[in-house]
Amino acid sequence: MNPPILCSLRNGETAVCSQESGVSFEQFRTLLGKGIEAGHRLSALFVVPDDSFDGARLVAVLARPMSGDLQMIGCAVGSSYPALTPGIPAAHWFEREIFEQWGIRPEGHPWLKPIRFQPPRSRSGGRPSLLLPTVGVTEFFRVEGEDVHEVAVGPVHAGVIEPGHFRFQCHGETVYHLEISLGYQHRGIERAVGEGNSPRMRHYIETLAGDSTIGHATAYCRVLEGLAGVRPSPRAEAVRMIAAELERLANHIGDLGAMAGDVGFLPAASYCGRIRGDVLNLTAELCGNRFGRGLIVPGGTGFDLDQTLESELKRRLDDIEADALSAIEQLFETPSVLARFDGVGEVSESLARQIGLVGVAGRASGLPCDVRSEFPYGFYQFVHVPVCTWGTGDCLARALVRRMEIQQSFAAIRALLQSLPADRSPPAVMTLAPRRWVASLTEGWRGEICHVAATDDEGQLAFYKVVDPSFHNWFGLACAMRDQLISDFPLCNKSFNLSYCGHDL
Amino acid sequence: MFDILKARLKQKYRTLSYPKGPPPPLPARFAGRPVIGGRPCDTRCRRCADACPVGALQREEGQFPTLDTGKCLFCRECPGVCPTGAISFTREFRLAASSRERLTVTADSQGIPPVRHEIAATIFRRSLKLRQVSAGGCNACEADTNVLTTLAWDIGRFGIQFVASPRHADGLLITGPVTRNMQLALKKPTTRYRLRNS
Ligand code: SF4
Ligand code: SF4
Repeated sequence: MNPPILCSLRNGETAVCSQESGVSFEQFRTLLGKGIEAGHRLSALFVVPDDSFDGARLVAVLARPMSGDLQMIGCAVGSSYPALTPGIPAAHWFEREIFEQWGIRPEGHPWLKPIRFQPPRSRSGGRPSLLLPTVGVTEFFRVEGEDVHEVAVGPVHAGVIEPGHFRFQCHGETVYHLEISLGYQHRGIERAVGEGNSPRMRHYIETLAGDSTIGHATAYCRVLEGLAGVRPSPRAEAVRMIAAELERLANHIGDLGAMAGDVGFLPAASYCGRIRGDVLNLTAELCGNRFGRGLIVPGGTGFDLDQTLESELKRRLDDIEADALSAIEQLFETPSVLARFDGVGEVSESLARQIGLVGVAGRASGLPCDVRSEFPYGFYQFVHVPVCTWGTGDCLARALVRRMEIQQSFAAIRALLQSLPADRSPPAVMTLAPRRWVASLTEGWRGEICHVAATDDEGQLAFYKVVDPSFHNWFGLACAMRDQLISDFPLCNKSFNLSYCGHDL
Repeated sequence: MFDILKARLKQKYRTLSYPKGPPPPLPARFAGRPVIGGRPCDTRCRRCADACPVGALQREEGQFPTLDTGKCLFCRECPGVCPTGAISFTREFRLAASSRERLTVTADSQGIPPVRHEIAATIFRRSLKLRQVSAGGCNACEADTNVLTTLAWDIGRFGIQFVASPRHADGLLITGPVTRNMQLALKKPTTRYRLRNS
């Protein structure tokens, strides 16, 4: 199950396991450094226990937009290695994860603390250790000084949202530093899926982050389809794309509403809250579930559309579009709203690149990162969805990117419903090839979703890695809050709207 | 200002008339409360229990299976594999129960279990404040809980409200299976409630 030494793959393509020991660590570091400098993205960095010697493999998946492929690099490491973070800041959260999960120490990491407070995983494949960390107990960064004070929020918040702990170092109203400490939602999904064939796997993936069910389920199914050499029918791919764009629509509309609510512009907040539900109801028409559970299955889709449903969807989509666009227009034509969004929570393009922001937040900072056009998969290979970027990286930019994407998604879904491919073939049986590796990227509504998997000699899943866009972006929220007013935190937070459970897994 | 009012008119009045009026239309593919029986069950067959990914179906030799909706994902794998059609999903959306056992559907189950608590209904009539704690779910529960407060459902009409502190609350709504990392955080604000293990 050793990872390939160095190979370039298309999105979802498989590589054969290698018997050799990988590139040297120096080469590994140079390759990564050069790649990042050339504008590539670190999509995943993780450790795989090694079957042959008392160490592990360090594996990086580098997304290379220029050549449209993914580079997978593997190298052997012992119980410690020189940290990559000082040269490649985008690696910092990954290296903390590696240290927490496997106890392999990146020497010289500036900020080596737990990210999920999960029990360490055993490299020999046994049960996890009984030494359990206590959640939220770690050395928090502190600013000292006479007028400096600390504000601690969470894990349980005032609203109906997921748990997470936030610590602000403030001087008056101004936030000098925000530290985000998560892990409260850790359920152990990644390990459970990596332990091989269980009938629950698809359901675990679907509930990995409930609002991104389609995004994650598609990434997972493409992993299996790649390993099994199966291609879903064009119709199934088209239905998957409709579902993905509906998911984007629902969440983007909901987010704009939530941002409106946070600046006290209630008309848009209440319209958007309702319209979001109307979009979710369209997904429910497809599969009976508002979040799309059961729709994306390995090899195809669990449900298909007939003529009646097609025209019903078209009709309702038109109504929803009219309502949504009018509500959103209100938002962007109200000067008091724009004044509140403008210039709040800025992340510059260079900072965004350095820390590796993805998705809406990345595009708002001006990075043209969008898996749908950089590494097209499924029906995105045939239909081009324009990449929407803005440059200012503030709350206004994140709202504007959403607004543009809402328009694009409406257009994309309508075009798809106009001309759905006709063939209907049922999902094929999945027989996974043994000793293979695969990396699958999809663009969830938050951003890039990356799943990496490997099979063992019997063709069973033996390793699984999930990177939710929130994993890349939580640190971006912390950076966005620097020198901002603490009262702007709710707005900044909503403008990112990151997933706790997607991060915690 | 004029535009805001115009848009307000365009967005219309959307609050549902339910429960006085009819419930909102359910999607055609919606799966609600399951029923067991109606058709015979093959005595040697175990297909449904074997197909269920979460072990929600229990099957005693020679009897109809029982289905625990507390575990069920409504994935509809079981009706698909049943050769006789003994399991089916209705469009009944009222799935609540007031005890753990009542979540289990058997061949003898009749109608929906009663959940109304007369004393509570008198005390909290038109004013029920709830504290929500999210503990290891996938955020879909929170999303749909938030939907209840949107103008379409507007549970504020009934005096039900989600409040920001356990000190203001009459009751607690917990979502998710409770992760290890949420145990303590959940215990702290809940000590003032007597948690019943049922
Ligand atoms: S619907 Fe799915 S989870 Fe529920 S009992 Fe049937 S097989 Fe099990
Ligand atoms: S309910 Fe259907 S699938 Fe289940 S044991 Fe009876 S006949 Fe078999």
